[in-house]
Amino acid sequence: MAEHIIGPVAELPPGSHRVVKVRNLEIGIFNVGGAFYALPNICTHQFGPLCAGTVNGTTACSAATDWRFAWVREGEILTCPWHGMEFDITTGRCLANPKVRVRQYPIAVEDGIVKLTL
Amino acid sequence: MIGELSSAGAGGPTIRPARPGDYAAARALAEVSGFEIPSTLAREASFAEVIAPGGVYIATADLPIGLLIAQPIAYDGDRPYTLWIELIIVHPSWRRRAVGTALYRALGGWARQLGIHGALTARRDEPAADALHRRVGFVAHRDDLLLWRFDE
Repeated sequence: MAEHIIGPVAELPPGSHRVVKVRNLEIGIFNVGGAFYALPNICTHQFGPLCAGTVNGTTACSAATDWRFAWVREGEILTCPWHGMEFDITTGRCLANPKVRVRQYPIAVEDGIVKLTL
Repeated sequence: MIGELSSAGAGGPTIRPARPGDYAAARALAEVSGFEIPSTLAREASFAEVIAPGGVYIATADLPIGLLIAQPIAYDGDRPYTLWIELIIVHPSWRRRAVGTALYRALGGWARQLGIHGALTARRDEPAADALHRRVGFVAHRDDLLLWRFDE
């Protein structure tokens, strides 16, 4: 494993994401509320370009929403553009089947620079 | 373990899972084969980390003459669900002797035993690599990927 410089933090503000190529693998870099995450650009479903999808939230109905459908977790959910599979960016887990998750690559900020370990 | 004693053919090299002690030889193989040293082979600790999940195979004929590195990119619970083929190297003097195919067969046996779904790799404009991948069972997927399904 080695560090790869992604770029200055200022170029990836909260809510933004970008797909980069590291060696021969495309990786999606996400800034969720100031925390960075890195996921492969490959969906677990039909291997679509997951990280080219939209970042938004999802609906939930639980005690926390008083058992009413509510829009939650805005900015934390990635939706694959091919078939709409949803993934939690912060854990890599598929919302439909939480046992399945995409790999998360170590990513950190040092001296204002985003660095990915791969 | 699958692949421990497999062979690329009668009198051919032995294919086995890579071990941490293979680091220096694997790096030398990449160098002599004209590959830019990938970060997975940059340091001994990186190599140990990369081989831990089990998807790294080495072909030896006294010395290592082939290396295949596959890494999980998705998981189902604790087990790998999808693999990414990061690298396949065959020593120049051992090319066109089915070493690459044998490495992939060993990987496929391991992957099927674990119930791994499939492996992906980047499409390349290299006829030899393309022919090898199609022979193994990879098919074109997206504009940029080749896919090898283990569950079909």
